[in-house]
Amino acid sequence: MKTAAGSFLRQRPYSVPVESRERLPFRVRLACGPQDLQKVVDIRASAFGRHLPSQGKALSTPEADDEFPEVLLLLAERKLDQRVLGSMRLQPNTRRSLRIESVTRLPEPYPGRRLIEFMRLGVENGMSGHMVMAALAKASYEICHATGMEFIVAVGRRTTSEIYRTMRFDDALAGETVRVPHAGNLPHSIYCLPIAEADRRWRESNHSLYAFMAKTEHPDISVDYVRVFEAFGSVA
Amino acid sequence: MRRAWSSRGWSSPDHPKTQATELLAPAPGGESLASALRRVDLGSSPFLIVRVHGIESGTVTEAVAAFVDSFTTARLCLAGDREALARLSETSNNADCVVLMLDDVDERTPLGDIAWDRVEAVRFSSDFVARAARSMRVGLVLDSMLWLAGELGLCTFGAKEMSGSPGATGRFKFDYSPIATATPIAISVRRASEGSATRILTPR
Repeated sequence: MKTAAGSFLRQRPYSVPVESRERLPFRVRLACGPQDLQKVVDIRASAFGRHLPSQGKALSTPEADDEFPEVLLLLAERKLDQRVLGSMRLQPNTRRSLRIESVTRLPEPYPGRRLIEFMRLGVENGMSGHMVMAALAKASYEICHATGMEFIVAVGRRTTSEIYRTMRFDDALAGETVRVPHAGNLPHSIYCLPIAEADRRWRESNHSLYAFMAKTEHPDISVDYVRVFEAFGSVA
Repeated sequence: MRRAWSSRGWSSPDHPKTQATELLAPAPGGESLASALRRVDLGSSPFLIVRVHGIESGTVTEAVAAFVDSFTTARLCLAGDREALARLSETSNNADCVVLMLDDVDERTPLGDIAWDRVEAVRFSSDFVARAARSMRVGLVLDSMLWLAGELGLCTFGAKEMSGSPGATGRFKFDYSPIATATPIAISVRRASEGSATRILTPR
Protein backbone atom coordinates (compact mmCIF):
# COMPACT_ATOMS: atom_id res chain seq x y z
CA MET A 1 0.00 0.00 0.00
CA LYS A 2 1.44 3.36 -1.00
CA THR A 3 1.02 6.28 1.37
CA ALA A 4 0.21 9.81 0.29
CA ALA A 5 3.89 10.64 0.79
CA GLY A 6 4.84 7.98 -1.76
CA SER A 7 6.50 5.55 0.63
CA PHE A 8 5.34 1.97 1.01
CA LEU A 9 3.56 0.67 4.06
CA ARG A 10 3.99 -3.05 4.11
CA GLN A 11 1.95 -5.46 6.12
CA ARG A 12 4.28 -7.59 8.22
CA PRO A 13 4.07 -11.20 7.04
CA TYR A 14 4.03 -12.57 10.56
CA SER A 15 1.28 -13.34 13.04
CA VAL A 16 3.25 -12.23 16.10
CA PRO A 17 4.45 -8.77 17.12
CA VAL A 18 8.05 -7.55 17.20
CA GLU A 19 9.64 -8.15 20.61
CA SER A 20 13.15 -6.84 20.10
CA ARG A 21 15.45 -4.93 17.81
CA GLU A 22 18.78 -6.31 16.66
CA ARG A 23 21.65 -4.82 14.76
CA LEU A 24 23.67 -6.79 12.24
CA PRO A 25 27.34 -6.30 11.30
CA PHE A 26 26.26 -6.27 7.66
CA ARG A 27 23.52 -4.67 5.60
CA VAL A 28 21.15 -6.56 3.32
CA ARG A 29 20.15 -4.53 0.27
CA LEU A 30 19.44 -4.81 -3.41
CA ALA A 31 22.39 -4.81 -5.77
CA CYS A 32 22.52 -1.67 -7.86
CA GLY A 33 24.76 -1.08 -10.84
CA PRO A 34 27.69 -2.90 -12.43
CA GLN A 35 30.00 -2.73 -9.39
CA ASP A 36 27.42 -4.44 -7.20
CA LEU A 37 26.74 -6.98 -9.94
CA GLN A 38 30.43 -7.88 -10.05
CA LYS A 39 30.52 -8.26 -6.27
CA VAL A 40 27.52 -10.61 -6.45
CA VAL A 41 29.17 -12.62 -9.20
CA ASP A 42 32.45 -12.85 -7.29
CA ILE A 43 30.86 -14.23 -4.13
CA ARG A 44 28.71 -16.60 -6.19
CA ALA A 45 31.70 -17.97 -8.09
CA SER A 46 33.65 -18.37 -4.86
CA ALA A 47 30.80 -20.15 -3.08
CA PHE A 48 29.92 -22.50 -5.93
CA GLY A 49 33.56 -23.09 -6.76
CA ARG A 50 34.15 -24.60 -3.33
CA HIS A 51 31.82 -27.49 -4.11
CA LEU A 52 31.95 -27.61 -7.90
CA PRO A 53 35.14 -26.04 -9.28
CA SER A 54 33.93 -26.19 -12.88
CA GLN A 55 30.68 -24.50 -11.84
CA GLY A 56 32.60 -21.80 -10.01
CA LYS A 57 34.55 -20.98 -13.14
CA ALA A 58 31.38 -20.92 -15.25
CA LEU A 59 29.78 -18.51 -12.79
CA SER A 60 32.68 -16.06 -12.70
CA THR A 61 30.89 -13.77 -15.15
CA PRO A 62 27.32 -12.42 -14.91
CA GLU A 63 24.58 -14.62 -16.30
CA ALA A 64 21.99 -13.22 -18.69
CA ASP A 65 19.31 -13.76 -16.02
CA ASP A 66 21.13 -11.37 -13.66
CA GLU A 67 20.21 -8.46 -15.89
CA PHE A 68 16.59 -9.26 -16.63
CA PRO A 69 14.45 -6.28 -15.54
CA GLU A 70 12.20 -8.49 -13.41
CA VAL A 71 15.10 -10.07 -11.51
CA LEU A 72 16.42 -8.79 -8.19
CA LEU A 73 19.83 -9.49 -6.69
CA LEU A 74 20.06 -9.33 -2.92
CA LEU A 75 23.41 -8.92 -1.26
CA ALA A 76 24.71 -8.87 2.31
CA GLU A 77 27.49 -6.31 2.63
CA ARG A 78 29.72 -5.95 5.68
CA LYS A 79 29.35 -2.47 7.12
CA LEU A 80 33.02 -2.04 8.05
CA ASP A 81 34.60 -2.45 4.64
CA GLN A 82 31.66 -3.12 2.27
CA ARG A 83 32.88 -6.63 1.58
CA VAL A 84 30.04 -8.77 0.22
CA LEU A 85 29.41 -11.77 2.47
CA GLY A 86 26.53 -13.35 0.58
CA SER A 87 24.10 -12.94 -2.28
CA MET A 88 21.01 -14.46 -3.82
CA ARG A 89 19.02 -14.00 -7.00
CA LEU A 90 15.23 -13.67 -6.85
CA GLN A 91 13.65 -14.63 -10.15
CA PRO A 92 9.84 -14.51 -10.53
CA ASN A 93 7.69 -15.93 -13.33
CA THR A 94 6.03 -12.57 -14.01
CA ARG A 95 7.57 -12.19 -17.47
CA ARG A 96 9.04 -15.58 -18.30
CA SER A 97 9.03 -19.09 -16.89
CA LEU A 98 11.24 -20.03 -14.01
CA ARG A 99 14.68 -21.36 -14.86
CA ILE A 100 13.75 -24.75 -13.40
CA GLU A 101 10.80 -24.91 -15.79
CA SER A 102 13.28 -25.14 -18.66
CA VAL A 103 14.32 -28.46 -17.12
CA THR A 104 11.05 -29.99 -16.02
CA ARG A 105 7.35 -29.23 -15.85
CA LEU A 106 6.22 -28.38 -12.35
CA PRO A 107 3.40 -30.52 -11.01
CA GLU A 108 0.11 -29.20 -9.68
CA PRO A 109 -0.70 -26.86 -8.00
CA TYR A 110 2.20 -24.72 -9.24
CA PRO A 111 1.45 -24.04 -12.96
CA GLY A 112 -0.33 -20.76 -13.49
CA ARG A 113 0.53 -19.41 -10.04
CA ARG A 114 2.80 -16.48 -9.08
CA LEU A 115 6.09 -18.23 -8.43
CA ILE A 116 9.53 -16.97 -7.48
CA GLU A 117 12.71 -18.99 -7.69
CA PHE A 118 15.50 -18.43 -5.18
CA MET A 119 18.67 -18.98 -7.13
CA ARG A 120 22.43 -18.79 -6.85
CA LEU A 121 22.63 -18.44 -3.07
CA GLY A 122 26.30 -17.88 -2.26
CA VAL A 123 27.87 -17.22 1.13
CA GLU A 124 31.52 -16.38 1.66
CA ASN A 125 33.79 -19.24 2.57
CA GLY A 126 30.95 -21.11 4.23
CA MET A 127 31.89 -19.39 7.46
CA SER A 128 29.86 -16.21 7.37
CA GLY A 129 27.02 -18.59 6.92
CA HIS A 130 24.35 -18.68 9.50
CA MET A 131 23.52 -15.06 10.17
CA VAL A 132 24.00 -13.97 6.56
CA MET A 133 21.84 -16.79 5.22
CA ALA A 134 19.13 -16.08 7.77
CA ALA A 135 19.09 -12.38 6.89
CA LEU A 136 18.95 -13.10 3.14
CA ALA A 137 16.12 -15.57 3.74
CA LYS A 138 14.19 -13.05 5.82
CA ALA A 139 14.59 -10.26 3.27
CA SER A 140 13.59 -12.59 0.43
CA TYR A 141 10.53 -13.92 2.21
CA GLU A 142 9.30 -10.44 3.07
CA ILE A 143 9.77 -9.36 -0.56
CA CYS A 144 7.75 -12.36 -1.71
CA HIS A 145 4.94 -11.59 0.72
CA ALA A 146 4.83 -7.88 -0.14
CA THR A 147 4.58 -8.57 -3.86
CA GLY A 148 1.87 -11.20 -3.60
CA MET A 149 3.98 -14.15 -4.67
CA GLU A 150 2.25 -17.46 -4.00
CA PHE A 151 5.11 -19.95 -3.85
CA ILE A 152 8.84 -19.84 -3.27
CA VAL A 153 10.61 -22.40 -5.45
CA ALA A 154 14.13 -23.61 -4.75
CA VAL A 155 16.16 -26.44 -6.17
CA GLY A 156 18.69 -28.20 -4.02
CA ARG A 157 20.87 -31.23 -3.83
CA ARG A 158 20.58 -33.89 -1.19
CA THR A 159 23.01 -31.98 1.04
CA THR A 160 20.53 -29.13 1.41
CA SER A 161 17.39 -31.22 1.78
CA GLU A 162 17.46 -31.03 5.56
CA ILE A 163 17.49 -27.22 5.46
CA TYR A 164 14.40 -27.10 3.25
CA ARG A 165 12.67 -29.82 5.25
CA THR A 166 13.14 -27.95 8.51
CA MET A 167 11.96 -24.73 6.86
CA ARG A 168 8.78 -26.67 6.04
CA PHE A 169 9.14 -26.58 2.27
CA ASP A 170 7.23 -29.23 0.34
CA ASP A 171 9.12 -31.65 -1.88
CA ALA A 172 7.38 -30.92 -5.19
CA LEU A 173 8.65 -34.10 -6.81
CA ALA A 174 7.86 -36.35 -3.83
CA GLY A 175 11.37 -37.71 -3.49
CA GLU A 176 12.24 -37.76 -7.19
CA THR A 177 15.06 -35.64 -8.61
CA VAL A 178 15.92 -34.00 -11.90
CA ARG A 179 19.30 -33.28 -13.42
CA VAL A 180 19.82 -29.52 -13.65
CA PRO A 181 22.11 -28.46 -16.51
CA HIS A 182 22.72 -24.99 -15.06
CA ALA A 183 23.83 -26.56 -11.76
CA GLY A 184 26.50 -28.97 -12.84
CA ASN A 185 23.94 -31.37 -14.34
CA LEU A 186 23.63 -32.96 -10.92
CA PRO A 187 20.40 -34.44 -9.56
CA HIS A 188 18.35 -31.88 -7.65
CA SER A 189 15.11 -31.92 -5.71
CA ILE A 190 12.55 -29.15 -6.15
CA TYR A 191 11.23 -27.55 -2.98
CA CYS A 192 8.24 -25.23 -2.76
CA LEU A 193 6.84 -23.16 0.09
CA PRO A 194 3.37 -21.59 -0.02
CA ILE A 195 3.89 -18.00 1.16
CA ALA A 196 0.45 -17.81 2.74
CA GLU A 197 1.28 -20.77 4.98
CA ALA A 198 4.92 -19.98 5.78
CA ASP A 199 4.38 -18.10 9.04
CA ARG A 200 1.96 -20.69 10.39
CA ARG A 201 4.22 -23.60 9.43
CA TRP A 202 7.29 -22.04 11.06
CA ARG A 203 5.43 -21.00 14.19
CA GLU A 204 3.78 -24.37 14.69
CA SER A 205 7.03 -26.25 14.17
CA ASN A 206 8.74 -23.90 16.65
CA HIS A 207 11.49 -23.32 14.14
CA SER A 208 14.73 -21.98 15.64
CA LEU A 209 14.74 -19.12 13.14
CA TYR A 210 11.21 -17.97 13.89
CA ALA A 211 12.27 -15.46 16.55
CA PHE A 212 14.84 -14.01 14.14
CA MET A 213 12.32 -13.77 11.33
CA ALA A 214 9.11 -12.76 13.06
CA LYS A 215 9.87 -11.33 16.47
CA THR A 216 12.98 -9.27 15.78
CA GLU A 217 13.22 -6.01 13.91
CA HIS A 218 16.38 -5.73 11.79
CA PRO A 219 16.93 -2.16 10.60
CA ASP A 220 20.03 -3.36 8.70
CA ILE A 221 17.80 -5.35 6.34
CA SER A 222 17.20 -2.39 4.12
CA VAL A 223 15.36 -3.24 0.92
CA ASP A 224 14.24 -0.57 -1.55
CA TYR A 225 10.64 -1.54 -2.13
CA VAL A 226 10.18 1.02 -4.90
CA ARG A 227 12.57 -1.09 -6.95
CA VAL A 228 10.96 -4.30 -5.73
CA PHE A 229 7.53 -3.28 -6.96
CA GLU A 230 8.97 -1.96 -10.21
CA ALA A 231 10.60 -5.32 -10.85
CA PHE A 232 7.96 -7.72 -9.56
CA GLY A 233 4.77 -5.72 -9.69
CA SER A 234 2.24 -6.64 -7.03
CA VAL A 235 -1.16 -8.17 -6.61
CA ALA A 236 -3.52 -5.41 -5.48
CA MET B 1 55.36 20.70 20.91
CA ARG B 2 52.79 18.05 21.74
CA ARG B 3 53.53 14.51 20.62
CA ALA B 4 51.36 13.52 17.68
CA TRP B 5 49.37 10.36 16.97
CA SER B 6 51.10 7.86 14.73
CA SER B 7 49.58 5.11 12.63
CA ARG B 8 49.95 1.53 11.50
CA GLY B 9 48.32 -0.41 8.70
CA TRP B 10 46.13 -3.47 8.50
CA SER B 11 45.75 -5.51 5.35
CA SER B 12 43.37 -8.13 4.03
CA PRO B 13 44.66 -11.18 2.18
CA ASP B 14 42.37 -10.48 -0.81
CA HIS B 15 43.46 -9.70 -4.31
CA PRO B 16 43.49 -6.77 -4.63
CA LYS B 17 44.26 -6.11 -0.97
CA THR B 18 42.18 -3.82 1.17
CA GLN B 19 44.29 -1.76 3.53
CA ALA B 20 43.08 0.07 6.60
CA THR B 21 44.70 2.46 9.03
CA GLU B 22 44.89 2.49 12.83
CA LEU B 23 45.77 5.58 14.80
CA LEU B 24 48.13 4.93 17.70
CA ALA B 25 47.84 7.23 20.71
CA PRO B 26 50.74 9.39 21.85
CA ALA B 27 51.86 9.64 25.48
CA PRO B 28 49.43 11.41 27.86
CA GLY B 29 49.32 15.10 27.22
CA GLY B 30 49.89 14.61 23.52
CA GLU B 31 47.80 15.76 20.59
CA SER B 32 44.04 15.41 20.93
CA LEU B 33 42.25 12.67 19.05
CA ALA B 34 39.96 15.15 17.32
CA SER B 35 42.97 17.08 16.08
CA ALA B 36 44.56 13.90 14.72
CA LEU B 37 41.33 12.93 12.96
CA ARG B 38 41.10 16.29 11.26
CA ARG B 39 44.51 15.93 9.70
CA VAL B 40 44.88 12.24 8.91
CA ASP B 41 44.66 11.27 5.24
CA LEU B 42 43.03 7.86 4.83
CA GLY B 43 43.80 7.55 1.16
CA SER B 44 41.80 4.57 -0.08
CA SER B 45 41.38 2.98 3.36
CA PRO B 46 37.71 2.18 3.91
CA PHE B 47 38.01 2.58 7.68
CA LEU B 48 40.14 3.97 10.48
CA ILE B 49 40.69 2.14 13.77
CA VAL B 50 41.04 4.02 17.05
CA ARG B 51 41.50 2.30 20.38
CA VAL B 52 39.23 3.94 22.93
CA HIS B 53 40.38 2.19 26.08
CA GLY B 54 40.93 4.89 28.70
CA ILE B 55 39.46 7.67 26.55
CA GLU B 56 36.52 9.54 28.01
CA SER B 57 33.16 9.40 26.24
CA GLY B 58 33.14 13.16 25.71
CA THR B 59 36.48 12.98 23.92
CA VAL B 60 35.16 10.22 21.69
CA THR B 61 32.02 12.20 20.89
CA GLU B 62 34.17 15.13 19.82
CA ALA B 63 36.32 12.78 17.77
CA VAL B 64 33.32 11.25 16.01
CA ALA B 65 32.12 14.73 15.08
CA ALA B 66 35.57 15.57 13.70
CA PHE B 67 35.59 12.35 11.70
CA VAL B 68 32.13 12.95 10.27
CA ASP B 69 33.25 16.42 9.19
CA SER B 70 36.39 15.08 7.51
CA PHE B 71 35.27 11.86 5.83
CA THR B 72 32.09 11.15 3.92
CA THR B 73 32.40 7.46 3.08
CA ALA B 74 34.96 5.95 5.45
CA ARG B 75 34.02 4.24 8.73
CA LEU B 76 35.45 5.01 12.16
CA CYS B 77 36.11 1.78 14.01
CA LEU B 78 36.28 2.26 17.79
CA ALA B 79 38.14 -0.57 19.53
CA GLY B 80 37.73 -1.48 23.18
CA ASP B 81 36.52 -4.03 25.66
CA ARG B 82 32.81 -4.67 26.25
CA GLU B 83 32.64 -2.15 29.06
CA ALA B 84 34.25 0.64 27.06
CA LEU B 85 32.11 -0.10 24.02
CA ALA B 86 28.91 -0.21 26.06
CA ARG B 87 29.64 3.29 27.35
CA LEU B 88 30.23 4.46 23.81
CA SER B 89 27.34 2.70 22.13
CA GLU B 90 24.85 5.29 23.26
CA THR B 91 27.17 8.14 22.26
CA SER B 92 27.77 6.79 18.78
CA ASN B 93 24.31 5.38 18.34
CA ASN B 94 23.24 7.76 15.62
CA ALA B 95 26.52 7.95 13.71
CA ASP B 96 26.25 5.63 10.72
CA CYS B 97 29.97 5.87 10.15
CA VAL B 98 30.87 4.40 13.56
CA VAL B 99 31.63 0.69 13.93
CA LEU B 100 32.49 -1.01 17.24
CA MET B 101 35.34 -3.52 17.53
CA LEU B 102 35.73 -5.85 20.51
CA ASP B 103 39.43 -5.58 21.25
CA ASP B 104 42.07 -7.75 22.94
CA VAL B 105 39.97 -10.86 22.72
CA ASP B 106 41.48 -13.95 24.26
CA GLU B 107 40.33 -17.19 25.86
CA ARG B 108 38.95 -15.30 28.86
CA THR B 109 36.58 -13.22 26.73
CA PRO B 110 32.98 -14.38 27.21
CA LEU B 111 31.44 -15.67 24.00
CA GLY B 112 28.44 -13.49 24.79
CA ASP B 113 30.64 -10.42 24.26
CA ILE B 114 31.49 -11.62 20.75
CA ALA B 115 27.80 -12.29 20.09
CA TRP B 116 26.67 -8.85 21.36
CA ASP B 117 24.79 -7.27 18.49
CA ARG B 118 26.59 -3.92 18.75
CA VAL B 119 29.93 -5.53 17.90
CA GLU B 120 30.79 -5.58 14.22
CA ALA B 121 34.46 -6.53 14.41
CA VAL B 122 36.67 -8.57 16.72
CA ARG B 123 40.40 -8.19 17.28
CA PHE B 124 42.28 -11.05 18.89
CA SER B 125 45.23 -10.21 21.12
CA SER B 126 48.55 -11.05 19.52
CA ASP B 127 49.62 -12.92 22.65
CA PHE B 128 46.50 -15.11 22.43
CA VAL B 129 47.17 -15.91 18.77
CA ALA B 130 50.78 -16.78 19.56
CA ARG B 131 49.73 -19.09 22.41
CA ALA B 132 47.04 -20.63 20.23
CA ALA B 133 49.72 -21.63 17.75
CA ARG B 134 51.64 -23.43 20.48
CA SER B 135 48.84 -24.98 22.53
CA MET B 136 46.22 -27.31 21.10
CA ARG B 137 43.67 -26.35 23.76
CA VAL B 138 44.15 -22.63 23.29
CA GLY B 139 44.13 -23.18 19.53
CA LEU B 140 40.74 -24.88 19.76
CA VAL B 141 39.37 -21.89 21.69
CA LEU B 142 40.59 -19.54 18.96
CA ASP B 143 39.15 -21.84 16.29
CA SER B 144 35.74 -21.74 17.98
CA MET B 145 35.84 -17.97 18.43
CA LEU B 146 36.78 -17.50 14.77
CA TRP B 147 33.93 -19.82 13.79
CA LEU B 148 31.49 -17.84 15.94
CA ALA B 149 32.69 -14.53 14.52
CA GLY B 150 32.32 -15.90 11.01
CA GLU B 151 28.83 -17.22 11.64
CA LEU B 152 27.79 -13.82 12.97
CA GLY B 153 29.30 -12.01 9.96
CA LEU B 154 31.87 -10.15 12.05
CA CYS B 155 35.15 -8.83 10.65
CA THR B 156 38.17 -10.42 12.33
CA PHE B 157 41.58 -8.93 13.06
CA GLY B 158 44.62 -10.81 14.23
CA ALA B 159 48.35 -11.17 13.80
CA LYS B 160 49.44 -13.89 11.44
CA GLU B 161 51.53 -16.64 12.98
CA MET B 162 55.21 -15.97 12.47
CA SER B 163 56.27 -18.14 9.53
CA GLY B 164 59.09 -20.42 10.54
CA SER B 165 58.11 -20.37 14.21
CA PRO B 166 57.80 -23.80 15.83
CA GLY B 167 54.39 -25.32 15.32
CA ALA B 168 53.16 -22.59 12.99
CA THR B 169 50.47 -24.03 10.77
CA GLY B 170 48.90 -20.91 9.32
CA ARG B 171 45.50 -22.32 10.16
CA PHE B 172 44.13 -19.18 11.82
CA LYS B 173 42.68 -16.95 9.13
CA PHE B 174 41.80 -13.37 9.88
CA ASP B 175 40.09 -10.85 7.64
CA TYR B 176 42.84 -8.34 8.44
CA SER B 177 46.36 -8.73 9.77
CA PRO B 178 48.79 -5.98 10.80
CA ILE B 179 51.20 -4.83 8.17
CA ALA B 180 54.70 -5.50 9.45
CA THR B 181 56.72 -2.44 8.79
CA ALA B 182 60.20 -1.46 9.73
CA THR B 183 59.97 1.80 7.85
CA PRO B 184 58.52 5.09 9.04
CA ILE B 185 54.82 5.55 8.41
CA ALA B 186 53.76 8.47 6.28
CA ILE B 187 50.75 10.53 7.21
CA SER B 188 49.64 13.20 4.81
CA VAL B 189 48.98 16.40 6.64
CA ARG B 190 46.12 18.33 5.16
CA ARG B 191 46.27 22.04 5.60
CA ALA B 192 43.25 23.83 4.23
CA SER B 193 45.13 26.95 3.24
CA GLU B 194 48.26 25.33 1.83
CA GLY B 195 47.01 22.10 0.21
CA SER B 196 48.44 18.79 1.36
CA ALA B 197 51.96 17.92 2.40
CA THR B 198 53.54 14.73 3.59
CA ARG B 199 55.27 14.38 6.93
CA ILE B 200 57.17 11.24 7.88
CA LEU B 201 56.64 10.03 11.44
CA THR B 202 58.93 7.41 12.93
CA PRO B 203 57.07 4.71 14.90
CA ARG B 204 58.01 4.65 18.60
